Amino acid sequence: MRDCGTRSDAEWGNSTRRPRDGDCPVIAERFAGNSSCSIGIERGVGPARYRGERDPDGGQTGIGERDDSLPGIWRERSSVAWPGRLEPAPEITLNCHPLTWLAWGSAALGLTITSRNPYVQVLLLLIFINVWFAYRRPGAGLSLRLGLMLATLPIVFDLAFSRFGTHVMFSLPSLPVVGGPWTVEALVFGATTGAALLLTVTVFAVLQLTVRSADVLKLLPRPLYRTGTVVSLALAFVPQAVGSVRVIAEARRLRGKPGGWRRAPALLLPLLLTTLERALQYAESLDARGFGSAGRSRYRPVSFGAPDGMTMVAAGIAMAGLALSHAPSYDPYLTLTPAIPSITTIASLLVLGLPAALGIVLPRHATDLD
Amino acid sequence: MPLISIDTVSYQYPAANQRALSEVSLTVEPGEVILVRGPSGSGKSTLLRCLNGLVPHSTGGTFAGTVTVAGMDTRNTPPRMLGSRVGFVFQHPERQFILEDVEAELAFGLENLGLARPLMRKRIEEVIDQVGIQPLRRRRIASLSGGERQRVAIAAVLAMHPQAIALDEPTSQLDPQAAEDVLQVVSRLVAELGMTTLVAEHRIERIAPFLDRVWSLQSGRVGDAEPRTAFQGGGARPPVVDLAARLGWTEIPLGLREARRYAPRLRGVRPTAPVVSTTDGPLVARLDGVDFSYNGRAALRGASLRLHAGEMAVLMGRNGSGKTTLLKVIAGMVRAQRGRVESTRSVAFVPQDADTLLFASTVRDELNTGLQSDLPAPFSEWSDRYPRDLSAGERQQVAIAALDPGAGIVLLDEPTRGLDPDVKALVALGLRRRAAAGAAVLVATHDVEWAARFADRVLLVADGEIYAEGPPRDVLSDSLVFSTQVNKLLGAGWLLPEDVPVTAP
Repeated sequence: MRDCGTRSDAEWGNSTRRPRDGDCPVIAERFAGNSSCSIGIERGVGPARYRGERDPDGGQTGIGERDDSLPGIWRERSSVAWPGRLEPAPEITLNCHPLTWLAWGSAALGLTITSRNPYVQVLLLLIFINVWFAYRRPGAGLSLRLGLMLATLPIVFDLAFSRFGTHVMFSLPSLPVVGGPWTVEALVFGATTGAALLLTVTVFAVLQLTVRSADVLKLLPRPLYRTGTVVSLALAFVPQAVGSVRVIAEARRLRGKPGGWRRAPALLLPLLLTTLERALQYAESLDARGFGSAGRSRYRPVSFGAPDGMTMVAAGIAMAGLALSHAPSYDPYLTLTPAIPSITTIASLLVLGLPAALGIVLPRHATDLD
Repeated sequence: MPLISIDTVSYQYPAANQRALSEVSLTVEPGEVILVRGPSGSGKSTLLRCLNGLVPHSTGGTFAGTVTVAGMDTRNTPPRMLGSRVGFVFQHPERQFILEDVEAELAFGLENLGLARPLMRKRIEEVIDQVGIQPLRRRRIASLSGGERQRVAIAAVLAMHPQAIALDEPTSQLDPQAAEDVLQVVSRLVAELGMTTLVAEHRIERIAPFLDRVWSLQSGRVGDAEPRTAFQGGGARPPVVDLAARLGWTEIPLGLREARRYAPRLRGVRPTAPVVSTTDGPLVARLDGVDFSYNGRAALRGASLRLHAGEMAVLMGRNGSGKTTLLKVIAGMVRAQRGRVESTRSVAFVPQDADTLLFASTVRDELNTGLQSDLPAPFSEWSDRYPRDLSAGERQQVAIAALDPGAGIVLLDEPTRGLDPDVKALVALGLRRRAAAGAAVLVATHDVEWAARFADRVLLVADGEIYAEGPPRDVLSDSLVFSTQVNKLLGAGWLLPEDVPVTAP
């Protein structure tokens, strides 16, 4: 989290401040992972208003609380340290080029899939979670919870069904399937599988936050626009499908149909239908707006800036490090104690955390104040 | 030469039994403003979709005849090439956007036209001013209200400089104020730009004064007439026209301004004794000081409410005022964070998006799952149809009919949105019958005319609190936003044309 220094009233409480040449009325910044801190004045709400100047309609000029002791002034609950001069909000996202994220995602998935070493997994999990935190939005936690649920499944399965291993925790009498020795090896093997699943889900959760399907769509060359439509539909509707499940389940309950997992097949059809309908509507919107009709141009090209370059290089280093440093493999059934990864391995993993650092340091796309 | 000509067009959806459009021939001259009206399912959307080729290119089916738009035959031109000629605004504010923020959305169509950046910039700045969405330009689409979204959608198609703009029930999902904002934009386009406009709309009173022609659809056939002639012939029409017909005015007024000329004649007449409905049925639900907030944002603040068996109460308020949350609290879908909620009967609830209730493969199956039909609507005609292929109005009726008939408390969220007046009356009739059978009916709606006509009690909600409550005549006659057209014209507690005595001088 970014440190939100509280700005003293004296610094900006001067309600009579008038605009100077070169001042920009726009201050709308949001810092990654910290939506409570910010905010100034939105561009273009009526006449330009300035920090500390009261909205002529008596409304609120920014997010803040009215300070009754200072008439006409809004005091921010917390605010970032403002530079002396008011800078315009960045118009272009600094660290969200879709290619960058696709590269990062590939590296992250590559590492996740290739190593079952618990040390590596814990390190990766910490890194991914940090990146996720740097870009998270309200209500984004659902997919991580889903990941945690998924992660417990292999643990239960391996524990219950695997009878291999020498470190026996306890034995059950000769019952079918679950009878016999329950081993630490099975537990650990299940846990590493679960961790791999959790890591995969986390990587996708990060990509869901950082990659806008429309940007990927725009990267595609024009002849592929039909494919592009399909790809972006797929990307956009997976998260919506999750929302639809909830809505449909709720609707069934309202009509007096019992919920529960046994009813899952009954949910599947309406889910499919809702998703298809949305997809059709989306495709119609694309058509109605002339998608794929002429040459494409860009209104605001997604810039590829220094942070993108750094993240790309980091992804490259991580992949190369993985290939060169011979990341330690791990199989609990052979040796329970995992090998400690080399410094090179650890270093090449750590560079993947670069977006977390960038996400905190760099201001993000200025959008809503709410 | 007409801008658009439709020549003996017939169209049948795939696997449909009958034609959606039947030998339709129409023309649109540049600058004309045309209202497309007709009952739910009469083919309004289909007709409009013919103009940019979505019918038949996107829908399939059997298409005969020709539609020519600016010299292009829609049969040979793909919809994506027609999109810049006929701008299309869809019905659902939440489902027509491609990108995530407003400016990118405005630019999307222009990018597809391959315009140079400086030109795009100019077009976007201009369209932002024309539509008046300057405060929204940096917002995320997801954070916009329905009315704001529709205005952005209009701006997005307008930026492409289309020769005509088609709006498919753009306000049917909006509250009166938001609808007013959107229609204001439409009338501005008409008045200032002379934009050729085709609009399917149930909220006729706002645009009636601007109309050049009215296309009235009835099961696939279209009547084309001057507005006064068309309105005289019945169908959906502004309440002032109903009033004129009732009082036998020789000239039909299209709007309030015209009607005011006749209004002074009515000034001396007082309304008949107000019908005070008493809610003396047994108390079936009560809320006391209920608080609820979503992620720290208060949706209800100390809301209190009583529901009695046998009454039909209506909840009105802006979007986001807490209406839906209040219904959800009564239905037990969300738990009040403070305060008391008691109900003595079982609850049935039709959410705003009634489509989510429909998932059987035929209407018959759908109604069987809800045990029995409750409305005298023509369900028998649709019994073998696939519920999601029905029009919005038909789907709504099926969803209501599929409700558990044993429920003692019936809650509905916006049941009349997108419905034509006849179907709205059918919905009200069905609900009235429920109330007569001893259920308490509570409806959240934006539809002032409907509430004035059918409610026993109106509750106004703002900012999570109920701030006014009483019979429609008391609550609605004293309001600017939640006021019927007749009341705006006459005041004095007259809400509906049928309230005004025919014997008026």
